[in-house]
Amino acid sequence: MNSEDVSFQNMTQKLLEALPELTSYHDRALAASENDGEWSGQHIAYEEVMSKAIKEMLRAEQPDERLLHKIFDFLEMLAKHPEEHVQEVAHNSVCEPICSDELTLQRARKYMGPTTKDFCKAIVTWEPPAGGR
Amino acid sequence: MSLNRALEGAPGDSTLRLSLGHNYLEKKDFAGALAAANEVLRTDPDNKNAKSLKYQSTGRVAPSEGGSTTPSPTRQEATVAANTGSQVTFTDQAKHKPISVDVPGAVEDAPSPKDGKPLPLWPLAAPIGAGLIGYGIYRNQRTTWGANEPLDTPAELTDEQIAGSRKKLKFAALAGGVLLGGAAIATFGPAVVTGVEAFFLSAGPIAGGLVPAYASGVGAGAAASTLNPVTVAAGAETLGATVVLVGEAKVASDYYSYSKSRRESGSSTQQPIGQETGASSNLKKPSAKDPQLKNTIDRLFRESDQLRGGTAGAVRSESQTGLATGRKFHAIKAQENISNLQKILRRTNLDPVDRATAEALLSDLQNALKASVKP
Repeated sequence: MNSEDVSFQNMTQKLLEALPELTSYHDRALAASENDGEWSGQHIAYEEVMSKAIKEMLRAEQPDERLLHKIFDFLEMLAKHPEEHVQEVAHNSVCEPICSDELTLQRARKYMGPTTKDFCKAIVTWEPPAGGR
Repeated sequence: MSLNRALEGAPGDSTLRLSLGHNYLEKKDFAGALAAANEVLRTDPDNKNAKSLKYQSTGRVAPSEGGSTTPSPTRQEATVAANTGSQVTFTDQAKHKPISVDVPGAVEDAPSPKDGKPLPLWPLAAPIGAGLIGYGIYRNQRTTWGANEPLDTPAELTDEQIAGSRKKLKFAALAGGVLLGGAAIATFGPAVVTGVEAFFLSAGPIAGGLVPAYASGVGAGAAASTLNPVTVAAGAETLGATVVLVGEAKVASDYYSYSKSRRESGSSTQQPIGQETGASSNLKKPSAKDPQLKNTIDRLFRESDQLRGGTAGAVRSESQTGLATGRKFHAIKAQENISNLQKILRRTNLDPVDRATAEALLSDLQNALKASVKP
């Protein structure tokens, strides 16, 4: 899938089109997370579906390498997307939860593209600016 | 003494021997009284009067032993001749026959290193317990009066969470005090009966509070000092350990109390929590029973967060510094989670504690976003 096909508005729909293997994760997460069967936003959908699917797969004894490569390729596309809000979803709602867990990060590293790695490095090494807490 | 003569004729008469023992006790001849009590208990271990006499005379030292050179008349008849630690041998001068009696508590009670005379262990429990209770009353009064001082930047907590935490802390303080008291007794030796009296004397005029708790320890120590320095150490160590533990519990309790008072005053005289600094939120990651709310909290707060306040803290930092958190800004994520929290709050079956938590999170995110759009 090309980045031109994806926008901030349709990115959850495109996620399922590109990765139909995540449909079961999506339906389960939607039922558990939202009361009215509609996502409150793209950040929530991506964190509940994509980041949780990645975490679950990486914890498996025999991860589905093919699917993991496919997911991280899609994530890399989002991280390089021209639309800033799309990048924010990749950064805040997929990379942050993955990178905040050391074991997950360790296992995920080999599947990551360069921009995704760059996001994770920025997240892990970030320190509050002077004056902030 | 007529009782002695009567006993010569009936040495097994426990009533006569106990009467003699009480005579000794009245004359502060505690060793004599103890010997009489033990003699009766040897043949009648369940004799309540003998047990009572034994209790009253155990571990006490007659003034005459402290320096008087004139022994009491009774001591002329029954005098301590040797103390071997577990046994005290008396010489009954009327018969010139040594009587060996067990020193109560010599084996099971920790002996005093100074003179080998054991002291009862249980009386220390009374001043400790009473002191802790007094402190508990003090804490309650202090909370009721609202005399809480800021200790640190606390978390926003619900009333139920605050009340629950306070109860747990009080229980922990009481239980810990009792445990520490027991440990101190076991380590340093027994306390004195007079400590109990000292507590009641000191606590009487001052109704409930830290002062009686403190005075009970001081009183016990002062009373003990007239008898044995080891008991002073025991009392002081126990009191100190208890005060430290209760003090720590108090600090933690004040933390929660301050959080409550701050929130209450914030609704009338102060700005809502999280808005006052403009720089960052004070919210720490709360807990929730509701799975949807818990999920939302997990999205807003990460274990590795460098900023307080989770996503709201990130939004505040970004608006203040103009710099992203990590590589990206978080305002859109905050807005989406506001919508999600509003959905959760529309539910009628939400637990009241969870509702308060969701409202606090919603308010914090809204305040953070308001600050971020200010010119």
